[in-house]
Amino acid sequence: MRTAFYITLFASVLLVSTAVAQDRTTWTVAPDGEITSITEAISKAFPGDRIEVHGGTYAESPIVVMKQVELIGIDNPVIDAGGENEAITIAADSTVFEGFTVKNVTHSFTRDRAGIRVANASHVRVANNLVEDTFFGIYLARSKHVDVLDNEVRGVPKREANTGNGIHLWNSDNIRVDRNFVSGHRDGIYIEFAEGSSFAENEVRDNLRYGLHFMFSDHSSYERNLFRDNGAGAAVMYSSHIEMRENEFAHNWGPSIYGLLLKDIRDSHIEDNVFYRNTTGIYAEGSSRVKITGNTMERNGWAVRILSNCYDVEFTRNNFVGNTFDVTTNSRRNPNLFEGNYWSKYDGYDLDGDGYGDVPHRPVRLFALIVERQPIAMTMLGSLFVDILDLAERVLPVLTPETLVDERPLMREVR
Amino acid sequence: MKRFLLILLALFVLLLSACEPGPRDLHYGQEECAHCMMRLSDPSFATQLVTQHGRHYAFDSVECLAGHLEAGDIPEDDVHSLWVANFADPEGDWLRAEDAVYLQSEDLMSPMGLALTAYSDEETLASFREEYGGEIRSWSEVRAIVYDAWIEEGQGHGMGRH
Repeated sequence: MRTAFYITLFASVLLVSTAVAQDRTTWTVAPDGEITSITEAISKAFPGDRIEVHGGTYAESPIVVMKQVELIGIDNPVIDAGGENEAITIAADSTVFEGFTVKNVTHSFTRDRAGIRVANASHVRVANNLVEDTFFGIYLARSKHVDVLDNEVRGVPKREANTGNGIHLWNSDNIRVDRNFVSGHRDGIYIEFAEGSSFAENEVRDNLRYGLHFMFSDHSSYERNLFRDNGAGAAVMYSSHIEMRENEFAHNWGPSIYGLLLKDIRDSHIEDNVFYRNTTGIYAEGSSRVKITGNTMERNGWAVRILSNCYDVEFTRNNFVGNTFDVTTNSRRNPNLFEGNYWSKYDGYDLDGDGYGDVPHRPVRLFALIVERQPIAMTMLGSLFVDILDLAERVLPVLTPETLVDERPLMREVR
Repeated sequence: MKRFLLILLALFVLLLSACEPGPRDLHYGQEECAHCMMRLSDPSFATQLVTQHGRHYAFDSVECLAGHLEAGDIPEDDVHSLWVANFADPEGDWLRAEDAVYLQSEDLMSPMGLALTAYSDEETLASFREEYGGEIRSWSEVRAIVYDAWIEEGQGHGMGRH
């Protein structure tokens, strides 16, 4: 009897839910169809409806979405913003915008015009779009729980002064930005006052300033991204509790260009990243309680430049391989820890066979400090004189930071 | 002869005035802000400081210029002049920081989060305020705002959160 009751209950729930689903109308927009404009379809639709937009060019911006709809592009429909407008603004919760090409939004000094804007909305999904030649690409403001997935955001690289950011978050929480490709913008991904957000598996390259740029945004993470050929890979500034894992920072090359720039960062982790061929791998200023472990720093000009206003920054189990300078700093004070790292420049021995070198390693070369003060001295790099200088200092340190020593250098690379 | 000397004197005065230190062109995309280290990218918000010795410091925002002074990084009597970009005409002439008027509007976010923009006169500011809203500030108010936000509370507190 009881079973029968549950079966009836289950069946009626099923019936009701399918009835609700059937209530949902699908509207079709096509250049040669009954409805030819996206705006018209939105105005006719009821909340929860689906709007399928077929291939063709739609010049009707700005499209403003004020009710919950699913906008689905089929056969690559193009929204041409015509220059002065934004292409689309999404201001309704639970809206989906998927499968479109959005293009042609020009620069403005006073307006942050974007291809796709999400404003004051939550649970929005922006996926599989191509955003091309727009001032800002995808712009999220005062929004929550937005997913930005699998989009391609391509700017036309002009001067840094009149290019906006590819994906821009402002005052937004719990945002997920995954598997996007961003290039040709000022910052690839810019995050200001955005808490609890995550950024994974994005490819960010050829942006004029930073690949990823955190400002005042706590409790966020970025993992498995590739940052290549940007003005700097990532700049993480004035934030705390940031998790940075398994990213690749490569070929960020040029004067004052970094793989990772840390400024005023607290209580964060940098783990298992690869820094390959950057002018400076990690630059840290005013940062504290940051654990840096399991990273590989290979063939950078400077692997690590850490200023003495940092404290309790811990470098453990990292690989320093073939960098011109492994570590440099600006003071003899060193309130940070280096322990159990692998240094390809280490020339000690391990007689007791415990895997750690028996004599400590001093990773700061005297010459690095000289260059820090007199950049022109760089022309002396590789000369015999410099090698003798470095050797003498290593044996009898008088100028390099006394406590910047790895007491337990690893004999083998960390895998 | 007297006339010749007079012309020479005039030329000399002209030469001296040409030496008067002033704002310089900034290299956007190449220089870093002297306060926050961010690379200069947007002329609309840029500012600069010239010292008595003619040394230039470039900043990416009004708040970084004020913050640098409030933090005591450059002694006040070492300052020759302070310059801010005109938000209404970023590629036009630089404005003296003390003479400019400022708007603090959340809809005009500046690079360091305090939402400050500078204008040559109150009329221009009013036209922007009509569109973007916000509060009118003087230079001394700007400095007080930056002092409260950064020096009192520790840098990293913008006005974005509400």
